[in-house]
Amino acid sequence: MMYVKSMKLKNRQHRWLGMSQIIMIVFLLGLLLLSSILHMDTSTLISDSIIRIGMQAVFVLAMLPTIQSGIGLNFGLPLGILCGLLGGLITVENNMTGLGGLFAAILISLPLAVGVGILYGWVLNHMRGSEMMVGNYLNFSIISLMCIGWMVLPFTNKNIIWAMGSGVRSTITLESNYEHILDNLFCIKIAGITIPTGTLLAIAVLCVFMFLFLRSKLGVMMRCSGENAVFGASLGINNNSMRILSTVLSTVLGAVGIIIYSQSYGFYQLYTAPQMMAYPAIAAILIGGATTRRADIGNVILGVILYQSLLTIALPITSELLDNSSLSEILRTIISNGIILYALTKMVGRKV
Amino acid sequence: MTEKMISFARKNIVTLLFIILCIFTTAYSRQSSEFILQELISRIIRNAVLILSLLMPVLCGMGLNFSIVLGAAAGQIALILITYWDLGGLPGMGLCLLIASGISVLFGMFAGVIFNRTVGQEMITGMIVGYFAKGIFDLIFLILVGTWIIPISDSRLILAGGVGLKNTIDLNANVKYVFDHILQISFLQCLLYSVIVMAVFVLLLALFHACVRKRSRKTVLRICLPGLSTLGALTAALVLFGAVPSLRRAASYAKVPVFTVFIIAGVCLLNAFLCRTKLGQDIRTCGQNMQVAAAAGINVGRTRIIATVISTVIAAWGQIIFLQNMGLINTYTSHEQVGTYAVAALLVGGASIKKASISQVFVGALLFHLLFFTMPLAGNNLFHDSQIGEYFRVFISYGVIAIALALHAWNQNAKKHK
Repeated sequence: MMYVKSMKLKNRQHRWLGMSQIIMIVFLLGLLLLSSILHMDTSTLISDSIIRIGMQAVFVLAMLPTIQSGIGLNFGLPLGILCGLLGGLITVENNMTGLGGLFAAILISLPLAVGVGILYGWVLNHMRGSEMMVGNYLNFSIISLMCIGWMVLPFTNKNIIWAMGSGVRSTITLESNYEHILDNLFCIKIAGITIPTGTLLAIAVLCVFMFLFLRSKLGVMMRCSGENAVFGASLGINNNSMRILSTVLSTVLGAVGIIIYSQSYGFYQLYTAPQMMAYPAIAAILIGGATTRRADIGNVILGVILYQSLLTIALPITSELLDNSSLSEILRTIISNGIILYALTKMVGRKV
Repeated sequence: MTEKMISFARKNIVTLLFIILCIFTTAYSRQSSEFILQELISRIIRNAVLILSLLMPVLCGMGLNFSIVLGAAAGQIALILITYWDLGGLPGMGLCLLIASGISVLFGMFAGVIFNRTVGQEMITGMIVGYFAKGIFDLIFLILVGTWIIPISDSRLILAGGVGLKNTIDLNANVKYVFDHILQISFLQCLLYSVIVMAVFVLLLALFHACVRKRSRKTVLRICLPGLSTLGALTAALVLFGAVPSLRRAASYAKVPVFTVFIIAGVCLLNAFLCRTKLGQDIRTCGQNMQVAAAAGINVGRTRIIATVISTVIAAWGQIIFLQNMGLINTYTSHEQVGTYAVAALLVGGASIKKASISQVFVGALLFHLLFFTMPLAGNNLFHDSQIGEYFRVFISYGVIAIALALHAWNQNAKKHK
């Protein structure tokens, strides 16, 4: 167990506030200053970014277990998202409302997500070395398969199905169910800034749970096995089951994440909408200082705050300066893919 | 014998599955054979060069090059430029190919340098490079064009606001179909001529080796075997299309653009030629084992960059051929899916991440694109909803990539455990 102890120490030394993060924080503060110079509504910008942080945080948290178990970035996150959407649709179908509806959605999607996570982990265990590519294409193909699924699933509620023709609507409003239910819970307004306390609390609970799990015996075993599978095996840790555990955790977090995301957004988005949802989460955890092999809860929190507030604050400012509305989407693509590309080139591995 | 068949079926499971699917959807699409043959020929010819561009990186051990999106973007930039300059005809297209090659060499070097830093993860990197490049492309052509940075004003190209290119750009009349309309013959004639040319070629090859090189009869036969089998396949096709009345009608109706076929043949020959040069040998060695290649004195990094550049340049040509056949450019979406479709088609042909051949390119193009346009029609006939077929073909193109990748990784891991 000496190794496990020393690894714990090493992890404690793993600094999540690096130079690039500090530069980015300074940049962010500069942007805020600029926005008030440009006479933009700074408090709205801050509220927007807090809401976006709340929407995306669970997805970013879902990246953590797979990185720690040695699988790497989880490009298959939308598999979990699909489970969450299915659970959510079942609650809307049955007209469930309020907090109860939200929890029912989570409860229904949990067993689904666990099953999908086990399957996904089993597949990835046979794909060592190409988990990211296989995960990504597994995601794309299952998403398009579910496009057919959404068309033929036997939903009957008028709020869900198209008025004409067959199949589920592409966006389903949660207005009469649980729109903003967590956002409005204990909602506080300070100096024009709206704080969605309920959502942030839920995220804090999940983060604390993850923090405790990673320090529990099981979590330490998972990290140890991810760091060095051969050494883990010599301690009697089954690397395969640790990896499956991590994909199950990640998939479950994906399912919970989409439900929290949707209650804040006000809609369930179906069909091809979830296809690219893993990318912003990956970019966020990488911007928080994680690598494809190493990450901690600090990276998650810092990453989601930096990435989301950078985008929500910087993009209106650039649009204001350049006067073009489609700019923000384009910059979003460039920034998130640029970050992922940068992290891939920094990966531990062979170079030529 | 049965063992051999089982192992053959296992190796070509994806291709066999697609043949069955294709027969099914073609039957249920309820279209005339004229329509299907014509559509199929034009689609294969439109896409062949794009799929051919994937071969070099596979040979170099870099897997399927998803970053051919960069090459496609380069081809598009060149086409937009000659549309802006009002050039056209063969000289204009020559200039277009030249410009596209220049730009795509730069793009290929960019991708190659990144691939050299992500050895073993080239495919996912290539995909992200593609997304990243799409962002940059949009930034330049939607935001910057028309402002003081790139001052262009042309009502055919620029959006009404004065900034950004239009979503669809109509090509000039003398750019549209310029390769395709040079010479067109019917498919039946095309088959006949190719049988004759192939027979003469094989005969000359055999005579050359038998009389000039004085090889033994067995060696001559071995050398001529690929040519002979192609000849056999072509003759069988000719007999089939000549004898069955409905097929004969379709084959004499369907048109083949001869010049474009020559370009495709040229790219095939270029590929085959490159494989036989010193460079081709270096690329192959890098693909088999990078350490051995480095120990043998090959500059592995440089070789890999060259392979990526070749692939990107061919992809740029491919996109130009594709777009001149379409007649218009979807400025922001034409290049987006190029990588996915080309890779899926190649994999359907029976290629893997480690191995791909020219014949697999054409088998794959045939099966994938046959399925691609018959699927919505069949979906419409079976479920009274073309949308299901539409989604199903997207699923097929992603699914075949996922399955091929998974099978490959599975086999690699199984080998390691042994």
